[in-house]
Amino acid sequence: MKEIEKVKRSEEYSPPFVWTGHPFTDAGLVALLLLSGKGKPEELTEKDVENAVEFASKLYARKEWSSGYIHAMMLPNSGILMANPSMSKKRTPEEIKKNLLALLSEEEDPNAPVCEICGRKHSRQKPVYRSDFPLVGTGGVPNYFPSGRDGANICSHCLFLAQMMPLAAYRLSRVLIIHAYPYELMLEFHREAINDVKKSELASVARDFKRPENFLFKKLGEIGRKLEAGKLSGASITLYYFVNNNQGQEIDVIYIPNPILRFVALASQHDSAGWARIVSMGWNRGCAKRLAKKQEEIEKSCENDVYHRLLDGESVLHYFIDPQSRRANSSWRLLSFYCSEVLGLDENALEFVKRVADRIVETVEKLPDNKLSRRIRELERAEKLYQFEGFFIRIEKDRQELGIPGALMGFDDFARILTSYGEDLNVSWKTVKNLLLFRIYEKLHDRLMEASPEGAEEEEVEEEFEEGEE
Amino acid sequence: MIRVELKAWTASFRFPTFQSGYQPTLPVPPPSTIQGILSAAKGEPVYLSELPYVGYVFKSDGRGVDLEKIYALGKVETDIIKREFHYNVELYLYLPDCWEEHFRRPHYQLLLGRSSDVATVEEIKRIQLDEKEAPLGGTVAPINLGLPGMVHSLIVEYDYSSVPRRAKLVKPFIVLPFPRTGAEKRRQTTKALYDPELDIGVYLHRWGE
Repeated sequence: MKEIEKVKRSEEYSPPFVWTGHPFTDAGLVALLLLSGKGKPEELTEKDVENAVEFASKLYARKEWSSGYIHAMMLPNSGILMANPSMSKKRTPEEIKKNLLALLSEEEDPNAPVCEICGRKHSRQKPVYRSDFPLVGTGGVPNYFPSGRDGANICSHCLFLAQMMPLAAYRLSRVLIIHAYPYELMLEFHREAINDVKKSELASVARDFKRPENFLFKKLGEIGRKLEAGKLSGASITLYYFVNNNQGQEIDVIYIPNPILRFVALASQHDSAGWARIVSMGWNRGCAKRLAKKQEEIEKSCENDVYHRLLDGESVLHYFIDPQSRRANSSWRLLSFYCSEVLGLDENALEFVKRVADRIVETVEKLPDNKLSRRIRELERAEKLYQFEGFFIRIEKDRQELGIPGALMGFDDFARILTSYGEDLNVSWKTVKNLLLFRIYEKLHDRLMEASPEGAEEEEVEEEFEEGEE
Repeated sequence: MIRVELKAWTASFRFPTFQSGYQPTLPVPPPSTIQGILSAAKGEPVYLSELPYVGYVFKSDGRGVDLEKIYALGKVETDIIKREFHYNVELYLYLPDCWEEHFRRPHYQLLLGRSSDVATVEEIKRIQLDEKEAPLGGTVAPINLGLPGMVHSLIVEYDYSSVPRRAKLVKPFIVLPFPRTGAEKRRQTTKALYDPELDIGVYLHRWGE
């Protein structure tokens, strides 16, 4: 009997809240779940929702939340959360709680259109403007609402979730929502915000990070360390960084490509020191110099070219090597993952370049220190394709002079290394150059550092002159 | 099946709820825009859930941001908003054969977003697509397909029987931009119908089922 009831209940049961795919309502749902210690919307009980509303109402009634955060950044003049300055005298936790719970008991009008966010319920009869749902538009300029009237078609449940969003959001100079799929990942990303709110009763300031992408990469590294690699295979993350007040409304939508997620997670798990070295090379120099005395401030405030390039789909391969100290910044494994998964370099091509690099190493390690240093500098300084070609020709000559059997490479390989990777912006001959340098630094770092750079510079000038005469 | 190729200088696809101050564009058109295009071509409301299938692939050369002066409706008031748009765009529609006549002589102008985003029909071609492992892109796909991409709830179709129009079907989707690099292609690969001319997989939506 109980079983039948159970089945019947499960067939009829429609949870009050579902993941919608909209970042703001999903963030509200994250707040509800984390406050209730639940993982799925269908596990939420009425009591959970009531407790969360009570918790939120107490906070929202405080000035720090009401005028300093909700009105100033997210829901200006909100009537539901009583953030409108004219309501300050009447604003109490009880009144806010009443408003929030009233949303959940609002009757649906079957003649109203369906909600444009969840599609499950009918939109509320009262118009929804940006004072109640961020960025949705105002009644003052109704141009973008259907037929220019009545606000957005949003149901009272989605509206309720948007009112819970401030709890889960991060407060930087704008508001940050990290919308992630699978949704369990979104819970992970916003757990810190809820914990901060519970501890300090203030909105989370994301550890004082000033830049959303810096905070995201920091968190991604931390979360990535705990996650199994497979968990991120189909994962998606989009940052919504917005402000919605009476002075202005802005939103940046920053999509994080999946290979970047997996790359950063892998780096954090298996080569965190290497990843830290790569990141450290990308800080804006002026900013980093200014904040040199406050090292921890650099990662919070400065722009990082590595992050920007990763998000813009540009190559960061040159950050895997440090030509100043002639060192490979990471392990070959991390480099290989980056090349194949992010740049899309064929694994066979990568192995081929590695083999060529190893033959170069086999040759140059037999050279005296100063000549070795000079040869590698030729490769480091190759900015034009002919300079890159010249490097191989010189290595070939070195092989002959040293009596090393066999050629560095055949004609086909030579043509392949120079031309096959030329079409794709991300996989050009410069990619090959950086890969070669990576391998050479990996193998010969100590000797290269011992070699005298001054001596190498002088000899280099002489040899260039000689070659020019030929 | 036919493939209709549309071209336009610009296109913009507003996120459903971001309309204050700055309007970013979705990377690809939402299904409701496709509904609008089909309705314009036919000259009467078309419902995607009544079609046996519909697929689309969208490509653009890049994006820009335009400053737009808007006039408030019914008031002597103006405002400036920033609107993101795609430029040099192509939209390929995969439709049953009977749609050929509608696109040979479209009833109304075809728009890729706003009234300024006018599109022209470049080519209508009968094609046959075979299923294979192929990169999907320039389209939206169901969330349970498991491909990584931006997740967002979008309106599939509007009910035009009343004024103002009303959303009829809303679903969360993975928004998949057209893949440009080998890495992007690999990341978005799944079993799909393959269009060899565009080197892209085509997801056929069957919302009626």
